[in-house]
Amino acid sequence: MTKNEFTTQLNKLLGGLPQEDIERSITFYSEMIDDSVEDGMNEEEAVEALGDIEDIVINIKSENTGKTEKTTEIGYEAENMSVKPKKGRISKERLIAVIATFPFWIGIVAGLFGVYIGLWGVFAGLCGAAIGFAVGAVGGLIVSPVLFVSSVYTGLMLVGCCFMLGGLVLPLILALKMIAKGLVELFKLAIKGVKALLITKEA
Amino acid sequence: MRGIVLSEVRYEVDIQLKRGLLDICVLAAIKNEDSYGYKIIKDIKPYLTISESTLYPILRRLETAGFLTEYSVEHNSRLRKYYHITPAGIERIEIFDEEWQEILAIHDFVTREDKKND
Repeated sequence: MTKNEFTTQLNKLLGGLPQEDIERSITFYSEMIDDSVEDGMNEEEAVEALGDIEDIVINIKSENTGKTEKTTEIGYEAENMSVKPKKGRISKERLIAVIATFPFWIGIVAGLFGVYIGLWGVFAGLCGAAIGFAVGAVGGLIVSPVLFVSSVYTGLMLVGCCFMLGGLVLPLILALKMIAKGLVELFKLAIKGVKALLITKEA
Repeated sequence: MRGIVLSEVRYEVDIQLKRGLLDICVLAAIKNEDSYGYKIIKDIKPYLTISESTLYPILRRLETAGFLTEYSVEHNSRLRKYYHITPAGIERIEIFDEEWQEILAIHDFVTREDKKND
């Protein structure tokens, strides 16, 4: 794992803690990696030397909640001393409520799912258009010398059209990237919403 | 059954003891000269196993207790955090020294009594 990957993952796993504490931890561990690298390790070895990221997160979180940190590093199996991150549990009551109200929400959910799939359809269509534009532009440029022989103007017009098509491809790719990202985020958000609805945190 | 209870007691004592020792070791590592995380670990490692993930909460705890302060210094185009011991931190080491004399006296008593049984 690289330093960047490590800090990104740490940032993600520490979610829920105050931003200041998250930044502080990341600064601390980044500094450790930088110092190890300065001492001759390569970046991946330096990250590996930090140990299991789960242990790191447990120690940071336990210190934040003022409880005993995990001390396996001093040679003891301290698993039962450690403070595990709170695990969610599916709430039976909520699950029953969701199942009981099934006829009311299934139509809406199915409709929304249809819209979502439709949006992916639009995405696929735009992908097709981008590919078509690219192929058209390249193909046009390839055949343009033939047209130049019969008529310079027609040839020039074809080359111009090819450049126009080619020029559309790049913004289309950028737009497609954004759409795909947005759709994936939308899906994650939906999953998160369902989780929040069904799962309750244990004390 | 008795064995389990005894091992649990020992386990608890060991952890508390090591925790306390690590706190003191970190303070000792910055007593004469301000130091930074990586160096503190290097200095302590010959005596007690300590990792980065163990050090971080200790530093936080010692800072909250007022035993050390931190500041950043530019090093190789980046910031490095240094830890500075406070008068309260120095006092903590002195108290540890007294506590340790008591522990040695207890150890002395325990081994003496134990030898009587042999």
